[in-house]
Amino acid sequence: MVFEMKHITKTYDSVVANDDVSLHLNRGEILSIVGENGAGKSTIMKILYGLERPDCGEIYVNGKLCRFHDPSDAMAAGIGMVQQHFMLFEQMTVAENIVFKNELRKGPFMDMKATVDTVRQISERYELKIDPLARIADCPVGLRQRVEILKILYQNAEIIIFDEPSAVLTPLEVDALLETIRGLAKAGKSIVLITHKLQEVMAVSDRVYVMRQGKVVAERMAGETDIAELAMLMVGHPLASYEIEPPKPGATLLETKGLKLVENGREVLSDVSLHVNAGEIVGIAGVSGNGQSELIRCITGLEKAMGGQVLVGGKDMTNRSVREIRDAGLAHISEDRYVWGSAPEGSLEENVLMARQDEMPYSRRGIMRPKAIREYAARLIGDFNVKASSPAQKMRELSGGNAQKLIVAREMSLDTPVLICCEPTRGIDIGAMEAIHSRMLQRRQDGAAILLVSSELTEIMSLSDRIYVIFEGRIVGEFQRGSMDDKHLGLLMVGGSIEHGQ
Amino acid sequence: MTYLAQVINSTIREITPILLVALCAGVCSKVQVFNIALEGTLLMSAFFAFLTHYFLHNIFLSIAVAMVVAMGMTLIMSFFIVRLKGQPMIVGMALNTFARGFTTFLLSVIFKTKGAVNPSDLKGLTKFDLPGIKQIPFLSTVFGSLTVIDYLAFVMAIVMFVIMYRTVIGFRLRALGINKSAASSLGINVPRYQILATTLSGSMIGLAGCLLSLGRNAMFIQDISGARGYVALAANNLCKGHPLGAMISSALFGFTTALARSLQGTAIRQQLLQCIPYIATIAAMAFYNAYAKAKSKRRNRGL
Repeated sequence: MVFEMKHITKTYDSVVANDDVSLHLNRGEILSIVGENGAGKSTIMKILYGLERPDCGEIYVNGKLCRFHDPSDAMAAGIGMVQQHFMLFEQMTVAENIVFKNELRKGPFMDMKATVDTVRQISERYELKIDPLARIADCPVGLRQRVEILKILYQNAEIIIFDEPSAVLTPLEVDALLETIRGLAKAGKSIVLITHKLQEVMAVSDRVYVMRQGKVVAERMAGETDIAELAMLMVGHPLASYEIEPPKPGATLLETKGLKLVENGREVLSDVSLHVNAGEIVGIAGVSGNGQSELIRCITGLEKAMGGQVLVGGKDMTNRSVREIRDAGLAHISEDRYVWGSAPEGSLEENVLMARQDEMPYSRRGIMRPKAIREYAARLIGDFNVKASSPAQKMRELSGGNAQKLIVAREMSLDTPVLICCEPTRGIDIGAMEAIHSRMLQRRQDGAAILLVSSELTEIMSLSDRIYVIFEGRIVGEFQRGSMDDKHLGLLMVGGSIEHGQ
Repeated sequence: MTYLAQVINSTIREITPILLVALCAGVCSKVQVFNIALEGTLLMSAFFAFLTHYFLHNIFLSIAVAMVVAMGMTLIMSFFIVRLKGQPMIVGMALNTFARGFTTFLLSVIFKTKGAVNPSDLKGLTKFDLPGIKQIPFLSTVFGSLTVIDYLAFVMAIVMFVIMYRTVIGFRLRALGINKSAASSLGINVPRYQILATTLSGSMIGLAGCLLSLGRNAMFIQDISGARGYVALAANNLCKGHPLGAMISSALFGFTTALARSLQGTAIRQQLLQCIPYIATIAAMAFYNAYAKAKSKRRNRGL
């Protein structure tokens, strides 16, 4: 047993984040902790890593009772954590990032040669390929995560905690990560994986803890359980599977013709033509970074296309302002809920009101009417089951899933003919995901044209009536529901073609 | 020919105080402490260098006092910004306004004047001649009547480059300026690094202050810093905090100031001449930004 946590309890104000949690990790084992957002899995790992201190309970590392005041204590005890948000110095090189704080020196000077050699050695020993001299700013997300892992290995950590490591990765990068995790365990490291993606849990773990509402509700050996059981344990009740009615497509409500965009000398969109009809959900499948974000920004007016046309409801809205495009009948659940989707410092009322501030009865001749606004906010919060203490609460105080539900509520309640859903369920738990999916299907039944962009292939496959595959800014395939399996889609997504196999 | 040599000479003497202040600004910007108190710091250190020299006639003590005063001002600045989370703009303005009022006040209390003190019996910093330079006609004027601190300014630029880009401590400072939370997640006490680095670099403003009040003759004029603190800020902005680049950008501003001075007495109105360095500042910034924009645009079209 490399570590053991006994009877840990942690409360924030009145919320019990961890309630008498006990768990342990064996040497060379891959342990998963699963649970919905807010189930307390991140808190318990923050306590182990010294970022939070428990109210009571004990931590033993290698049989010794430990008290961690900050992460450097945990690091000294051989515990490292790959944070969900990378902690890297963008303008510096990979090697510099890895050795920071434990630099190799010659007197007062940096020993760059030894640094690069050492980093290269570690990277070879653990088969984590990397160019020590590349700048972080030029590295894709998957490589950045690799740097984080190497950083921890450089510090000789024996226990490595991964906090939602796949949340930011593309499907290919996820496979590589899982391979890395297996490799590390084989090399004798002990791994804790915090996640709510059950496929990944089943793919790599030896043992699983399920947490719900701050408590450990179950412990399973991976071989003795399956996704369905884990999902049920996480949510606390069996999941409903939705019946999808056949589509009744109507007129074309959203169309792009030959959209083109060049960024930093790279053609990020070339000749993108697609259409979405009333009463259908159209998915865009692709590895993230292949032009999806740019496509949506061009359609919604956040970016100016350099060529081509965007038609909303048959009207040419190319490169019009966001306001004009929205007024033409388009709502947009944006990719990043805090950058485009909401004002984190604003209240829930203010966030709910956005886009409707000029409408009766919420304002009259430029004067806001607080009572009407409050009622409207309270109604949406209730309808969409957003967990909030009051409509006056700040947006950023909501958990990710609840913030997303509120944004979905706002955009869907506009009842526009066209709805754009960009990563509608990124980083949120199963309960909230179900709710958002059923709302989307409801809007489809009501005759809305829905364009769905998601890095989760399963989400695209299960919801879409039609799927476009995008690769390097081009549409490389179009498929009807049922005529495609995920293997073929995956192949197209990485630039392969069906005729020629790989 | 002699005229040209004189212009170059006066350019050099305009460059060095700006360069020293810009080097301090460089350290501050690298560790993400926005220091606009440079102007007030420069004024205070110039005043106290003069005051010490006036009463104690000790040049080394004067330099030491100026450096301590400058470090004190910078310490206050960074303490308020880093520890007390003050708005950098407000903290800087407060210190600048204070420095201006305080020096004017002491000037009138101690010297009973509101303008200039120029005691003829008081000598400034000792002039330092490069060995053998006296015999060379042109160069003797170009490098004439420069002080050790003038030479030191250029040496400091190189020293700062080595510290910031070659040593472990410089590496840590640059890194924590790029991402504070990443540095503190690895157990670096970021505020301590920030305060120490800015305070120590403040000593260079002390040297610049000595150049102003003791560089030629020992004298003090109200507002002797003459916006050099802000010019240095602009110079640092132009070279993005790189110590060697600071030599070039400071030279640009030093040259325009010297140019303005050498044109005095011609038909051009003096007020207009005094604008030249500041117009140059704005022009340089505008030009630089336009250049950067054009570069990224060209990259976009490059396909």
